[in-house]
Amino acid sequence: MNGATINNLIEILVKISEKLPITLTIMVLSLFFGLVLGLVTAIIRIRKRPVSYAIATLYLSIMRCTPALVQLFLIFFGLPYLLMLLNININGWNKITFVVIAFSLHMAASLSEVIRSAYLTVGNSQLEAAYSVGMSYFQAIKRIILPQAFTIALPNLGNDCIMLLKDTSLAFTIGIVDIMGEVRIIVGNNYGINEFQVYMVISLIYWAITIAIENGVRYLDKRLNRGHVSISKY
Amino acid sequence: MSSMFSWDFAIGHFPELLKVVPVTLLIAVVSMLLGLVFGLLIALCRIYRVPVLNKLAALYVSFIRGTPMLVQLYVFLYGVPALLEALNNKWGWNLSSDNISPLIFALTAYTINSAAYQSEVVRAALNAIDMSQMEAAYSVGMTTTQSIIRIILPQALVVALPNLANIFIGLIKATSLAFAVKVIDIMAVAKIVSAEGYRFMEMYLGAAIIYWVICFALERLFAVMEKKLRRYESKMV
Amino acid sequence: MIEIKAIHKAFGKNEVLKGVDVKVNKGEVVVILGPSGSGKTTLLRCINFLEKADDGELTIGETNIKFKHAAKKDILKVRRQTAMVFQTYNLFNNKTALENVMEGLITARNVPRNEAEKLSLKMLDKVGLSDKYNAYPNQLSGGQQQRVGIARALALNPEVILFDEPTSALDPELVGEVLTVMKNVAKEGMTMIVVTHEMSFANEIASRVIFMDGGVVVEEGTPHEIFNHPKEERTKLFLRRIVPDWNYVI
Repeated sequence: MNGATINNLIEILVKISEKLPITLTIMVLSLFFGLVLGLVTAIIRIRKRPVSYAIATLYLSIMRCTPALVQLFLIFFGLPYLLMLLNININGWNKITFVVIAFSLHMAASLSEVIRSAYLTVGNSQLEAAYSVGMSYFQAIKRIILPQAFTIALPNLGNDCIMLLKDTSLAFTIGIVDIMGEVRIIVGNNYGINEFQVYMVISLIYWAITIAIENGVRYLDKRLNRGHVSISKY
Repeated sequence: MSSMFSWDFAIGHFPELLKVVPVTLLIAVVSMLLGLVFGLLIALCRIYRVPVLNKLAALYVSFIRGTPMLVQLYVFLYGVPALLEALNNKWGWNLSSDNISPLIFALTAYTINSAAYQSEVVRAALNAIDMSQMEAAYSVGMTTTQSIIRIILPQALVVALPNLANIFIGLIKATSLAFAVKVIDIMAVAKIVSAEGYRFMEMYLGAAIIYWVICFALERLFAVMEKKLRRYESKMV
Repeated sequence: MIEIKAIHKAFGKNEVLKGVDVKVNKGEVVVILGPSGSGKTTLLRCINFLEKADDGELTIGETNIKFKHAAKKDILKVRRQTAMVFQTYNLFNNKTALENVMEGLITARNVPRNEAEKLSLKMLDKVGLSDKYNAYPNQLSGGQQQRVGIARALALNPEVILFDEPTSALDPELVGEVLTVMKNVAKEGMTMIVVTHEMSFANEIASRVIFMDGGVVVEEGTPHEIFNHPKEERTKLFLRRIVPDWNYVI
């Protein structure tokens, strides 16, 4: 067996980890824009004004029923063409922009449903109670609904983050060198060295990040869930 | 830069995409069914806390859920030959992975993947059923097998169905990665044809439409199934 | 003084309020009775605009609003002059009992925090829950939650407190503690409009009883008049149903 020595593996680990910031950048940007768009979509779906509701529902259906890879390709190949029609030149655009746009759109769809269901779970009666003491809609949202909705949505938000992490593994298909892209390069350059080992290394990296996210969510969940017996300090 | 969108190209090559839809469906269906069987076994291991298997199962589920499908496919693609080589060297066998069809690779990888997710769904569904149901079944004289099949499983199915439906739809979408192990499915054809003709949008748009139609139809189907199953649930007063 | 004139409200094709006039003077306790579907809860919820009435006008203190063209500003104003106690208590789940009582003061009335805290503690004391100020709603019994709800309403010092079937969701043994608190609130001179099925409360405490059925006011009068000398047939039918073995003098 062509032994990949321990040194070799660590070398690979380091090389891959150098590209970790790129993966994380894609994640953070997509998450941010996805949240913004997701919030807007959730509000549209909550308010149910006929036209915007129909558009939002169609958008959700498309995002939910087509693979992320296809969406990535459509944005990558289609967006420049569309923008050219509007006379916008994209020649200088970084490839990461495309990935972020595609993943933001994708994330926003599932995030909007998470936000919407959390909002509905908190319930109308909390809103009515806030109204009855004289709060305005925005005061009610900020002080009563949002804190509760966030706690409810947290586990699902965590899951969506993990799915986003795994989706970033597709970015290399349009030429981005993030951790997955680096792995493809290594494998391509080192035909004969155990590709299996290299892929195991990167799966461990993904696994570690996933566990980190899960633990983070669990910690936040514990801290936010006051109102359970014990732990009340005043 | 690419010229105008060519409807001729898009429509002309669409049938080629349709031709491989059965491959996509095959992978999804087989992986789902096999995955259900394994998922059930894994769930039972965890519920009954079988000594070693319990921890192994938990680790396995965590790994599958924590790593991208694409990476799992590659691990499989390169792992099997490596494993065979190791076995060959150790025990002097002469196995070769060259003759294994890419489809088998894909099916195995997707089965292992969906089994992990389905085991979680099954576990949650079984936990959701009150054990007093079993007691009631015993009290009217049913055997364990009878009570599981006639009472527990139907109720568990209702709880599990929405999540299983999501997993299946997710599986359909995940098959879009099968080209990584050289399976000729929808995405593979789209890539090949679009690269040949330099007409990317036309092919990927076609692929997108096919996926969307399949998933949309499935969503409707599952919604109907769920409604029929819930017929037996009483309405909240 | 609270006055409602000619209020109309329909849910789709279903007309729930068909022109109702109600006048409540300061310090009065008005109890509204009626079968379900009579519109009594809707009437209450229209007062603080949790439901939007279709037509009619509302006067609270100095403020006069027409329901049809009610501006957001006016709605907020009315809500800051009233308070509501809900059937399902509706305490803010993410706040402690004390914070629940303080919330409206701080947010909607710009009361500084330590003043609000002092006032809220006093109110919690009044309803007998000063030792639970730090508890979250899910740590309190139904009766305790409702009492916090009443404290929350009291702290706002409104022109009127609206009670929407305050004891209907409570276990029987917890009803008494809430009614006691409500009686004390009444004795201290708070203006109250109460929708309830608790006849004993109505009999003991109400200054006036209004009987509604099918979206209109059928009859109103003092408790003695309504319970002992009802004039309308519908009133008699209702009373007979609610208190089966009851004798009234004709």
